[in-house]
Amino acid sequence: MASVDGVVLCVVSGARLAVSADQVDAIATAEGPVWDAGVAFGATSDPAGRALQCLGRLIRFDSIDVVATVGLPVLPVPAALVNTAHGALTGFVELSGTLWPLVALDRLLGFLEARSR
Amino acid sequence: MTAQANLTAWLPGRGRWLMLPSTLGNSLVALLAAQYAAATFRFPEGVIGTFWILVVTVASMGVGLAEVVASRRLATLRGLAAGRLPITDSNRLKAIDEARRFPDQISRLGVVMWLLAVSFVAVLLWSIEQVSWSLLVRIEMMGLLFGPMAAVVVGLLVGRRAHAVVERLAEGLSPDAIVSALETPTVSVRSRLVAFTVVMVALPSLVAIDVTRALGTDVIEGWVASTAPDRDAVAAAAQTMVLLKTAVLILLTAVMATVAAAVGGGLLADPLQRVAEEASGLAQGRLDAAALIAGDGEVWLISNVFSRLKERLVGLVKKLSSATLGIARAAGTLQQASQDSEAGAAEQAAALNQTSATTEELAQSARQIASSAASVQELAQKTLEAAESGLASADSFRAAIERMRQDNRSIAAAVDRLTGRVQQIGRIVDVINTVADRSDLLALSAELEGTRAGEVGRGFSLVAAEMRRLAENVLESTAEVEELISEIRTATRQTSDATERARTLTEGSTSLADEVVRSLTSVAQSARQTSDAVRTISLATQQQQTGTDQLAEAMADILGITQQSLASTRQLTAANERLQALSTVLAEVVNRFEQRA
Amino acid sequence: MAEGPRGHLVFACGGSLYAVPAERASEVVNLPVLTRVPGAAPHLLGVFAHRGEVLPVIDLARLIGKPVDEIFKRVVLVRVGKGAMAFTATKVIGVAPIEGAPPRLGESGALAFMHGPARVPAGECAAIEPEGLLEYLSRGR
Repeated sequence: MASVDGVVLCVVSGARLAVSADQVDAIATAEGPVWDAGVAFGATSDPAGRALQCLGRLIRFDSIDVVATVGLPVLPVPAALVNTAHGALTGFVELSGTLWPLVALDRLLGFLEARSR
Repeated sequence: MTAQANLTAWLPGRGRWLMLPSTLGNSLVALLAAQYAAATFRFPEGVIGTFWILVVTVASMGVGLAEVVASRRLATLRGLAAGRLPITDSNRLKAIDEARRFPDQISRLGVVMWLLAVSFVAVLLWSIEQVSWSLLVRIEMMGLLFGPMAAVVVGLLVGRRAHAVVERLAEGLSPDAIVSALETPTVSVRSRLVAFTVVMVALPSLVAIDVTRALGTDVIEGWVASTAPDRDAVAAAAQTMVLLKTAVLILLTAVMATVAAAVGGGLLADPLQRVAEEASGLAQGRLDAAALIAGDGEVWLISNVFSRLKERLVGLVKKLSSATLGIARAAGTLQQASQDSEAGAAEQAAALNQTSATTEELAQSARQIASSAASVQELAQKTLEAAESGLASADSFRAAIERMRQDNRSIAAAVDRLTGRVQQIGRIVDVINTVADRSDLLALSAELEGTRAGEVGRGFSLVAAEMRRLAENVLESTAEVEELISEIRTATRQTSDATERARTLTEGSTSLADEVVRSLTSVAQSARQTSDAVRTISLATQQQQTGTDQLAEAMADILGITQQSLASTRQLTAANERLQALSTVLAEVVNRFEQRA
Repeated sequence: MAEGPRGHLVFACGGSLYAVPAERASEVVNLPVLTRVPGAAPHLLGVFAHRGEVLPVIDLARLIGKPVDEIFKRVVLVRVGKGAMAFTATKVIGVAPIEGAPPRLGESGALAFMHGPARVPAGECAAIEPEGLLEYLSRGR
């Protein structure tokens, strides 16, 4: 079973998202051109929220937290959801009984780009 | 005082004035006597001169003596005339008495003086010339013949003046007072007329006879002494002489008699004339003051009676006039008073009418007040009863509220307990639900398992299905129970709310009831006070009504009396008018007498 | 597979009845707390972890374009070769046999994988073909 070391936990419009720490370049303030992660849930993120930098681009969330994990198991994506969000959903991690969808930031950016078009 | 002033102006010199006719009359008669003497006396040579000297001397002395004597008889009058005596009523009365008596006195004095004078002349002549006794008798005869004549003439002339003096002095004096003060004259008119006739007819006849005798003697002696051729001439001369002397004597005698008759007639007629004039004046209604009319004898009596009568009449008319005036004035006053009284009575009647109406209104008002007061009392009584019954109701209400509050508290406690139980039941039901739900799921899973096991699992599936139905039944039941619990909760909540509201309400109601009790108590008190007050008012009003009714009756009585009084006053006014008319008639009657006093 | 009546788990979703073959229906559980999935279609209400596996919950009513307001109380877990999924249910009726093979309810979309009307004691229902439906859902959009 795949695992992940270190995750960044993001909350936007009450929805949860987890990102593998190695995909994140930096955690920054949401200034300048940003991609709104709320769009993925049909909502809008807090303009004063934080942003994750990935591939030189910023994706804004309401709040961001980092959890240091070692060998955290990644649950597979159910068959019905394999193509969801342009395949950005890569699995789920469970932390303290709570399920977090794990996304690939580059694909999420593609999805958001496509949605905003 | 005008009369007295006139008298004062008139009096001076009146004593002498009164006596003056005495001198004149005696002189006239003396002239006659001288003529008689010249015709009849035969004096010796040289004696005639002595005789006339003696006559003149004695006559002068007689006049002086008579004047002195007469002055004594007129002492008061002369005193008044000379201003020595004050003009008082008693002095005037004395002077009147003197003047009235004076003519008779001076007549008698004249007779005496004549007789004395001739006697004195005869005595002197005899002693000087020793004349014959026949001459002396003749001289004495002259006194007897001419003395009474002179006395009559002087009495008449002085009498005229005496009448004037008496009337002047009597002016302003009451004739009654004068008459009662003086003595009634004793000499009657008849005796005066007899004396007058005797003196004026008999004595001149004697004189004429004597003269005729003496002249006849002269003629015869002359004729005898003359010769035949001269006898015719002597006779003719003697005839002429006799005629002449007789004519002169007769003429003088006639003049004297006529004057005396005229004066004597005047003395009698003038007072009667005056009386007649006064009586005529009275008859015409002229009422001047009664004045004394001087007269002699019966004339004096008549004029006196008349004067007194007139005086009485004047007094009477005066009194009547003043009485008439008084009556007229009184009647006028009475008329005014009765008119005033009538007006007053009418006014009073009107006022009484009004007052009576007002009193009637007052009585009506009192009756209305009484009936209103009765209504108010009834109302107050009803209010009191209502308030008392309200108080009782309020007490019951308060008790009911108190019970309700206690019930409410019990209900609230019961509801609390119920809520607790229901919560417990809810919890139990939740447990049952959970159990049943899991049983259902388990049974469902078992059924699925049984189904998947095919024929082998068939019995298992059936049991599982049966379990599911049980679980579902349980769930349905618990759902019902939940529904019931929900309903109970709703009901208990509503009950709780209701009890809360009821609590608030009962608390409010209690205070409301307290307020109601307070209000009703005060209402009852007020109603009781009102009732008491109204009872007082009612009593007072009844008394007032009684009083007012009595007043109204009294007013009606007074009104009747006033109307009667008004009628009486009107009758009085009518009577007054008649009285006034009568007094007017009386005044007219009285006014027919022209009063000059 | 032998022809004849097949046992189906019948459940209600809103006013409609659905049925899944009993051998595919692995379990019925109470609707758990769901985790929302980014970019998911409206009929995909979310996922939950069950026995170490992440299961997507599919709202059949939304899937066929007839959304309901009722509260889903249960989910029916269906497992096929490729994976598992869960269908929302307002009430699970129970296991009932369905005779023969009713026709498809549509030519395309989700209805192409539903057959009906199928006769069950509780009424008429749509019999779901789980393999095909999962295939359809996994194609994404």
